[in-house]
Amino acid sequence: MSKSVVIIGGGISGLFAACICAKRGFKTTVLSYGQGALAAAGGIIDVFGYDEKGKLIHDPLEHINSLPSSHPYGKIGAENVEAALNTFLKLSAEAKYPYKGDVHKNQMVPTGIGTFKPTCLTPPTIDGDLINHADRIVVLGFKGLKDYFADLICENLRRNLPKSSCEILSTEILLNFESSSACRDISALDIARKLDTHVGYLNFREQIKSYVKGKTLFILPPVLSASPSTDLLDLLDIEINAKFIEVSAMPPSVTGYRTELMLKNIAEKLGVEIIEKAHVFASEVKDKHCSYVMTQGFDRIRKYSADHFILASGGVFGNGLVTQMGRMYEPIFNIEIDVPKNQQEWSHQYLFTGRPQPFATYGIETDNTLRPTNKGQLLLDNVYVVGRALAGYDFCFEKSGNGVAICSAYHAASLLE
Amino acid sequence: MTLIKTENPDQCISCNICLTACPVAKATLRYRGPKLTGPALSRLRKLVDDEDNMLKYCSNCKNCERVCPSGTPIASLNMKARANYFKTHKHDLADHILSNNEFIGKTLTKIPFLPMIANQTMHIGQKLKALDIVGLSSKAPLPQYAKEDFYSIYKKYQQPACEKKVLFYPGCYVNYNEPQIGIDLIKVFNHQGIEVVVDPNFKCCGSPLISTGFLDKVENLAKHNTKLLKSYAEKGFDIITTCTTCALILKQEYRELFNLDETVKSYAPRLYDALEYLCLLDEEGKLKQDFKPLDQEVIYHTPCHLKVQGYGRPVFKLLPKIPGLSIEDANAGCCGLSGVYGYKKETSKIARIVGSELKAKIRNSKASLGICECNICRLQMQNGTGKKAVHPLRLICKSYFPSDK
Repeated sequence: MSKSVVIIGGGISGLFAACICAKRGFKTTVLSYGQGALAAAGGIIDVFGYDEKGKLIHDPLEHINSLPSSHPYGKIGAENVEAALNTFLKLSAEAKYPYKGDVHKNQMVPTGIGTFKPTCLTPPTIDGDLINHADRIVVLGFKGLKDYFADLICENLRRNLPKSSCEILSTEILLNFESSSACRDISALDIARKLDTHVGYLNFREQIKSYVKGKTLFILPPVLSASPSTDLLDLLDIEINAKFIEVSAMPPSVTGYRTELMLKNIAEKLGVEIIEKAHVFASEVKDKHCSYVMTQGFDRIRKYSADHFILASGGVFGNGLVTQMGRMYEPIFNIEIDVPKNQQEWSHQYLFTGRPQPFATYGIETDNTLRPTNKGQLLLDNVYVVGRALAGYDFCFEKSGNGVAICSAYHAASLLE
Repeated sequence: MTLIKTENPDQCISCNICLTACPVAKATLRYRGPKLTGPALSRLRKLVDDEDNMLKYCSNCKNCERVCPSGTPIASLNMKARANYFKTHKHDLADHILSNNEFIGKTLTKIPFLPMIANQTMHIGQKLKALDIVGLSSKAPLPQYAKEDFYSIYKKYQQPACEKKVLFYPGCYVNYNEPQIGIDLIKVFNHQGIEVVVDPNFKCCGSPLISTGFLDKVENLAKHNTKLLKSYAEKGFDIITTCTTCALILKQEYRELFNLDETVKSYAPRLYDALEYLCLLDEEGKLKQDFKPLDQEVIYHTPCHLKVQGYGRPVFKLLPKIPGLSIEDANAGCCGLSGVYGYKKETSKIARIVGSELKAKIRNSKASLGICECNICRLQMQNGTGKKAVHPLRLICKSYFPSDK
């Protein structure tokens, strides 16, 4: 009989770990409580953007070689990081939603206010390189779309793009949404769903095609389909010969949502069982070995046993780690996190100091196999920690969030025997 | 004193993930979406009492609660706000008709020939659009009433002597519309050496009353049912349901809506969906494995009210045991009908838009038969697809006893 693995958490690290485990022949179950944070994030894979001094990194993989072993990448190793990212690229291509990028190169992608940020791998709708080849950039706004400002993006792009020969303008698209005081504001997701209909697509295409002159790039909110597919992108390329880059809009994030659907589709095709609304609250551990974890909903405790467990339950935001005054702990395996007793030491007085915040790196200490340790002593021999619960990295400052999630998930899933 | 619970809506962190999952928000801009209608406006409702037209659009399908990372009882907040709204506003006639499902079922199935006449009359009424006049949709699939209710059939049914007994809560639909599900359950459980006990003193779980805003009436049902369920649990009975909505209400919504925590906790650990129970028997090696082949292709639709209960999908553990059966996963979201939602004229159009994806999947599928645990979903699956839909127990029963009619 094949060996089994239970993965706790259905975010990007949990789902990607599930895909790798299932591909390796493990009987794989994902226990998830609430949808993961993908639909609240952008779906791009930052690997390493800025060093500890805030200096831009050009080759993220090379930088990883210089990291200490306290950093998750230091434990995973550059070789495994490269393999993880390339596997992600391959899986997404097989799912016909091919991510773009090179593990040795950071690309600059435009943000929702027209500034630029470094990232490594991007969904097919956010190919930052296209900006360098455009003669004309048209920023598209949509009538009724809340908190999205095409003029602001346009203005900032003019300021941030040194290439003077590139013409930059903005315009507003009007789609036929029902609008009255009885209706809510529309979101990027509503527009994406509208463009997935034939009528919506034609309406959109007809409104933008007169703006195509020469090498034209459209910058727009994430609206090119609500599902992980490049059909609209391909169709527009053929029919009006234009390129597109999506920038982020208010949540729910359509790009993140597509990536989540892509990973779920891959996982389910590989036979992964995803159990939703399964709140894991405790575990049974004897001699450092976990035999089962327990869920509790409105009825009873259910036990899920397996040979291996992957903890992908997230950080403080995702309830994977819990904080009290002067204390932080992991609630399923009761792992105490070593944090200053004086809570004032957790953070700088000012939130936006331009320096890393101490609390950002708090998390579970592990060995190089990502199994939890306490002062170097192994705590659990068949539990692997992946994603945001790991200690030693500041995803926000260094821009490494989804990169650590994917690489740690791959590393743990590859280590299982 | 009322038992209706008031709780803090501040569990919601406004992440907006629920907007990706809400089938109503996908179908219409007239609904604000779960976050705004539920937790966000619950805060305002504490301060002001205002016209709240969007409240009627929540179908209580609970997809928002399924994806909520913070465990906010979003749909229940909506249902409570709706009940409060009707304290100062009048119900329409459709609300009164739809929420009286138990009374109608009881009356119809007690008198010979009446179910047949009623079924015919409803169809004629639907064709003539007479239902429109009382605010009911003339396009929604109407349930058929059974000739004899399940309780009466059960009384006459001879079960073999078994050591183990379980209590079955049939709910109104099995009782008055499709007693065959109850009979299938008895046959399948008897085959495992388990006797099925049924108690006619149970009342409707209250689902249609919750959706139509009659929370005070649900409270009375809840008090009655929870007390009775508690007494069975204390006697050591496991409690079985075949309706995913009844189960959800008995173990979750009674607690979200009313201050009945302790009573519900006394029996909830013993409350099982029939298929989940069979799966557990299988894990213990106690499930009979003499499944005979069924050469058939079926398409399975997962009810929203099952997805939110946190035990996965037992269908995919049980039905693959039947040789020759091939199961397609419809994976097409909510059926849209959502109990009374699809029958009320003002929301039936939304229900049809929501259900269109599922119906297209079924129509285009190679499968000749739909399967689904939820009774209401099955009505929608049959509506205009030209294919029948049955409870998975029907297939299990057919596989165990191929010679039965």
